[in-house]
Amino acid sequence: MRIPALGLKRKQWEPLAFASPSMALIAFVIVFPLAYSFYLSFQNFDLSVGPEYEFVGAKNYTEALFRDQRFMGSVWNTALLIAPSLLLELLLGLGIALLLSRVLRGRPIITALLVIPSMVSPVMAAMAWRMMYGVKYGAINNLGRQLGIIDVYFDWFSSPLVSIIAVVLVEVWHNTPFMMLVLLAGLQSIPTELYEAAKADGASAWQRFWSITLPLLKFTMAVGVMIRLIDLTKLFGLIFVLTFGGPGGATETVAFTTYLMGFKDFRMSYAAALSYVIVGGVLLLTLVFMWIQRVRETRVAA
Amino acid sequence: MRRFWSATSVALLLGGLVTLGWLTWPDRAPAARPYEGQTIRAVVNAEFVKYSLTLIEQDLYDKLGVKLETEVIPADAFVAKTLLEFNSGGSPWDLVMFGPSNMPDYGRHFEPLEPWIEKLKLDFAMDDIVPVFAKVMLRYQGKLVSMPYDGDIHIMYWNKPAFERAENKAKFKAKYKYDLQPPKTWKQWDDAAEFFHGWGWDGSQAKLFGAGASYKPSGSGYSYHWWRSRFFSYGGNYFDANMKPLINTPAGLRALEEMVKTMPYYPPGVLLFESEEPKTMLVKGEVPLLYSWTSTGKRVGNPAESVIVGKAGFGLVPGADIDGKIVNRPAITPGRGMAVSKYSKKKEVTMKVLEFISNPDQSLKIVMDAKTIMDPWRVSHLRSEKFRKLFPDADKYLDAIQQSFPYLVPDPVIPAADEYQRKLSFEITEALAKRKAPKDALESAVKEWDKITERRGPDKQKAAWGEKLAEMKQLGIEYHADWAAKAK
Repeated sequence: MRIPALGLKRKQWEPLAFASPSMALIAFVIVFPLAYSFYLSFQNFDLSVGPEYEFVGAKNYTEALFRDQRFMGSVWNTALLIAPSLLLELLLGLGIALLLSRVLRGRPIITALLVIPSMVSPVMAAMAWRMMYGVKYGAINNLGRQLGIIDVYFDWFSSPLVSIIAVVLVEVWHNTPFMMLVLLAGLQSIPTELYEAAKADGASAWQRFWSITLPLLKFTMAVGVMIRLIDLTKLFGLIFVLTFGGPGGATETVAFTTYLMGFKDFRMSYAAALSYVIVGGVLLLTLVFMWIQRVRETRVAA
Repeated sequence: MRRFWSATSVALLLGGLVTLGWLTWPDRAPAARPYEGQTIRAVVNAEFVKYSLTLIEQDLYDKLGVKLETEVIPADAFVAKTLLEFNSGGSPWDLVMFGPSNMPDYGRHFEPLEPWIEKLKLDFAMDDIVPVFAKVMLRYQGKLVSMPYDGDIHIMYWNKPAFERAENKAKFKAKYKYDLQPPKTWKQWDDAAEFFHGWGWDGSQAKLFGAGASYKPSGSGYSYHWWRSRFFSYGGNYFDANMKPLINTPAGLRALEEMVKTMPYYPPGVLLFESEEPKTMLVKGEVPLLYSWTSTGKRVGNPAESVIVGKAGFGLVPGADIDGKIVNRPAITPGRGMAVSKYSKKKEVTMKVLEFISNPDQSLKIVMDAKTIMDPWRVSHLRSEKFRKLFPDADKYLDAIQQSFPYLVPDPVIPAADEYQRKLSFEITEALAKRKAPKDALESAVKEWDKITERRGPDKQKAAWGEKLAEMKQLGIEYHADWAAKAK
C-alpha cells in the first residue's frame, strides 16, 4: 500500500503510524510544556498581577544570574548539600555492594531489605526523620542521651551547619540503597575469571580491588553519580518538610527557591527562567563530568 | 333532615378550608428545607477549619437542607493554589476561606454581599462584629465582600505560679532590682525570659525555658508577626506615604536586635516552630511566658492537655514605655474570613450558608470549641455567659482579648501583602539564625519590598497604601522616628 500524495511506501509510513500515538503523547506532555515554559521565561508573566504579559528578553535570566542573591545563595546551599551527600552515598553504596557481592546465600532478601529506604517517598521519609530529630521526644536525642553523647534538647535545626548535616544524613539514608543497587549490578557484571587469574598471580585483596574492581566499575559509578547528581539538584520534598529551607535560608535549595518564586510569589516567567538556569547548570556539570571521564579513558588507553 | 345534612356539609367544608389555610399559612407550615438536595463546595486551609464547619453541619442541613463539601488545601499552598484558580478566571468552590490581609488579591474574586443582603433579606448582625475587625477585614474597594470567621489576634499568657513563687520573686529582685511581675514592656519581657531560662522555675529539677515564640518563616511568616509587635511599639510603620519602606528604621532594627539577643532564652527548635509548638510548651508548663493567638486560651483551659488550668494569666502583649506611657501594639494575625466566590453557580444558597455560619449562635459554637482554633470575633462571643464559664478564668481570658482591641495593628493590607510579609519574615529568620546581621537583614528586606512594589506598580501600591495609612491613622497608629531611641 502506498500513500500517493506523499510518495511513501508502506515500509516507510507504517513505523511512523505505529509510533505516532506515543510521539503525540510525548509532544503533548514533554515537548510542548518545555517549549512553552522556555517561551514563558522571556516574558514577564506574573499571575499575581494578572493574566497579561509581554516580552522582556533575557531580563529574567540576568536577574537570576547576576542580581538575585537569594537564588545564588540557594545554588551554594545546593552544592553544600550535594557534595557530601554524593560522596557518602558513593562510598557507602560501594561498601555495601562489595559486602553483598560476597554474600552467596540470601542475597536477594538482604538486598530487598536494604532497598526499603529508597522505596519510601521523600516526603514520608522527611516526616519520619523530623520526628526522630525532635527535641526532647525525638528518638535520636534520646538515644544520644543514653549513650551520653547529646542532650535531649539538642536542636538539629538550630544552626546552618547542623541543619545541613541533618539533611545530608537523611538524604544519604534515603538514597544510598539506589547507589548500592547500581554498583552491585556493576560488580556482578565483572567476569570472575579476572579475579581468579589475579589471585593465581598472587594479587592481594586490595590489589584486586584497586586494579580490577575499581577500573571496571568506573563507568557504572559515573552513571550512578550522574543520576544522583541530577536527582539531587531537584531536592525539594525533603527540604520542604524537614527544614522549610531554614534556619534562615541555610538549606534553601535551587528547587525550593524556584518553588517559592513560582507558587508563592506567582512569578511564573521568572520561575521558568530559574528552571532553565538549573537545567543549564546540570547539563553543564554532566558534560564536564563526561568530558573528564573521556579524557581519563583516552589517557589510560594511550 | 335535609337542612341538617346541608348545614353539616357546609360546616365540614368550612372546617376543611380553615385547616388547609392554617397548614399552608407561611408561619404555620412544617419546617421546610428550602435548598434541599443542594451541596456547597467550600475551601479552607486546615483540617481544624474543616472540623469547625462540621460543628454546624447538622443545623445547617436541618435549617436549609444544604450539605457542605469541604476541601482542605494545606496552609503553605493555600494562597498559591486558590489564587491560581481565581486568577485563571474560575474556581471550583462556592464558599472561600481566606486570610483578610490578602483581601487586595482575593477581593476582586468575591461576590459583593450588599446586593444579596437586599435581595434575600439577609441578616449578618453587622453591629455585633468587633469594630476593628469590621473596619479592616471585610471590605474590598469599599464593598462588603466577606464575613469574619476567625478573629485572630495576639494576647499574652503567663504561668501564674512561676511569677508568684516566693523563691522566684526573691531571685529575680536580687538580679534585676525590681519586682517579678507579668511583663508590661519588652525590657521586662526580655528580663523575665532570661531569668526563667534553663532551670526548674516550677520547683522541679527539669530544664525549663524562658519564653515561647514561633519563628518559622512559613505561612504568612511567623517570625514577622513576632517582630512587628515590638516594631510598632517602638514607633514603626510599614511604609511612609510614598511607599518607602520603614522597616529598616531604628524601630525595626531595635526590635530585631532584641529578638536576636534573646534567642538563647527560647526553646530549642524555635526557628522551626509554627503556631502550635510554643502553645503546647505553655500548657505543659515548659515555658512561663508566651504571646500568641487567642486560641491558646482554650488550650490553656482544656484539662485534657493543660497543667495550668486556672493557673494562667491573660493580658496585653507587652509594649514600650514612651515618656512614661506604655504603648502596646498587639497584632491582628491575620484571622480568617469567609466569602462567596464570584464564579460560584450557586450564589444564592451560598449567601444563605454564609449568613447561617456567621450568625451569632452558630459562630459561637465554632469559636468556643478548643479543637477549631477559631477565635471570637463578635461582641456577643465575648459576652456569652456560656463562653465565660467554659473553663476556669475563661472570663479573664475573654476580657484580655477585649482589652487588646483598641491597640491592634493590622497587616499591610495592600496587594501582595502575603509576599511583603514572607520576604520580611525570611530576612528576620536570617538574622535570628545569625546568617546576617540585623541591619543587613532589614536592608535586604527593604530591597525585596522595593522589588515587589516595582513589580506590582508603584502608583497602584501607593494608592492602596494611602487608604490603609489613613485607616491606621484612625486606629491611632503612626510612624514616630524618635520612639526607638527613647523607648524603655
